[in-house]
Amino acid sequence: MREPRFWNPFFETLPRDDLVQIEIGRFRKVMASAMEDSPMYREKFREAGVSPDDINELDDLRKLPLTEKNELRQAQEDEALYLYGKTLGTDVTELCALRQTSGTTGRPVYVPDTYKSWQWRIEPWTCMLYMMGFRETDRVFIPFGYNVYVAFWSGHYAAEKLGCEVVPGGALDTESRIQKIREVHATALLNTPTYGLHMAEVAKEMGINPATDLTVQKMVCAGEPMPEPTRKKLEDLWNADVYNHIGGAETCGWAGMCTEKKDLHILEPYFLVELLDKDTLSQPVEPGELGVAIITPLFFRAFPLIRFNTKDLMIVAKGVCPCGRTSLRIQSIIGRIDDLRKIRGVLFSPQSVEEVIYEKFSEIVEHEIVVTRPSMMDEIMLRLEAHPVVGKEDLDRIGKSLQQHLKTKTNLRFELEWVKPGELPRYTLKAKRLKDLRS
Amino acid sequence: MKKESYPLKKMQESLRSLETEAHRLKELAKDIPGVEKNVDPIMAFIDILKFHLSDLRGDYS
Repeated sequence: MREPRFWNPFFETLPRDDLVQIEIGRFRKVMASAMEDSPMYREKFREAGVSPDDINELDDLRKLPLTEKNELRQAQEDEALYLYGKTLGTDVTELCALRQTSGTTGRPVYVPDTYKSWQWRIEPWTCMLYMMGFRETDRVFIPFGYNVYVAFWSGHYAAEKLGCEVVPGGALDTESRIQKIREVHATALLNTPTYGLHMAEVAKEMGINPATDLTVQKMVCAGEPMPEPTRKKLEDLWNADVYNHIGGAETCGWAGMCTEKKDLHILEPYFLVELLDKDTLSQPVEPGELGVAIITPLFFRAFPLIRFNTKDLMIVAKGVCPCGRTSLRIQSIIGRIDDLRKIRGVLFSPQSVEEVIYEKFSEIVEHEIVVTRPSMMDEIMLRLEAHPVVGKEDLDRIGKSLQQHLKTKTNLRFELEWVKPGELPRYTLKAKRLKDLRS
Repeated sequence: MKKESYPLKKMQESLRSLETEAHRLKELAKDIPGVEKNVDPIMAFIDILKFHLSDLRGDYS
């Protein structure tokens, strides 16, 4: 018997107009329940003077204000016992789990779940893993210490639901994790891109080549942006198919690659995603243009989110995907608006440095960007760590070539500093390779 | 894939029976937490199944 190609063949291949109609219908329902159950949204929509009946097409969404992360924080302040304050959309007796955002950009936001809402977080992740080719025969190792942060919990339960065998890899050091991957013959990994690179580096120090000595065939990366050169580098290091994914603690995973490994499919109709012009945050952008992702999960009731501003910058893909899915696709993730810096008048994303290094300079294993303003002018120092086998005599040539490529890519000039192997920090979750020391 | 190419109506009927029985079981077992609490996860999955078997309006009918 032929294996089904789709998790849900109906929704995943539905003509776009029909898909949008379903999403608008679901949006009205989730908006109505948020107005009924969540004090924050009741106040917000009352002020806006909009009711669910006013939402009949995508353009109508703009009648509603966006939800900012700071609003969620404020709505949860001074709530001694149940923490969720005005954001809660259910009775506290229904709750079954508390998780939180990582707090990278400020006070963490607490994310409550009921058993049902938790299953609704797992469901789109399961759809995504199926799309990436995960099946019952996979043994999935998760080299990550699960804790109060939501990262990888959904992936764990989604893989279980799919029928995969899940091996939790928390509370182990990197060497032990690599040994465990080898011992259990893991076929798939869920990790951050940074940690995927780090594990490969450590494995090689242990005399293990991940590409030939381990059995990993698939890797899903989450938790931080993964430029295409980094994804390809991971594929080479592990001899595995590496898939990108987009998500967040508030929204859950909402887009991922199919086996074509080109663009990221938005998981419709679990989510309604708008891509808006970054300056006005009101006008939708066309395929091929840069936009900010605004997300509405269409099935979350315990912690409703309506038009949540992710502050993630991305480009919508053009055309159709050969896989047959009709969902909107993300061509590339540029980074977070919060990570963008204006340096000497030029808008700079630290991801552009990662792209250049991983695409063209395999001799460089780690880097750190330090921005200062010693007098009137901004300066960028790029601290670099070369692979131990690279000779000192080669560093000058590599450095000059790197400076040229960076100048072409970013229109900025970088000073370089080579540091000893192992001197720069390694990251397991969210890499912090940019240090902006300007006051 | 067209929705008509699989037995949507029959699956919906089957799911409707399942939901009715789950509600009935929960009601009957309200003094037996060990039964009642094990019905709740079934209800969560029925909610997801309703989505999978919903129609073009996004409704399960």
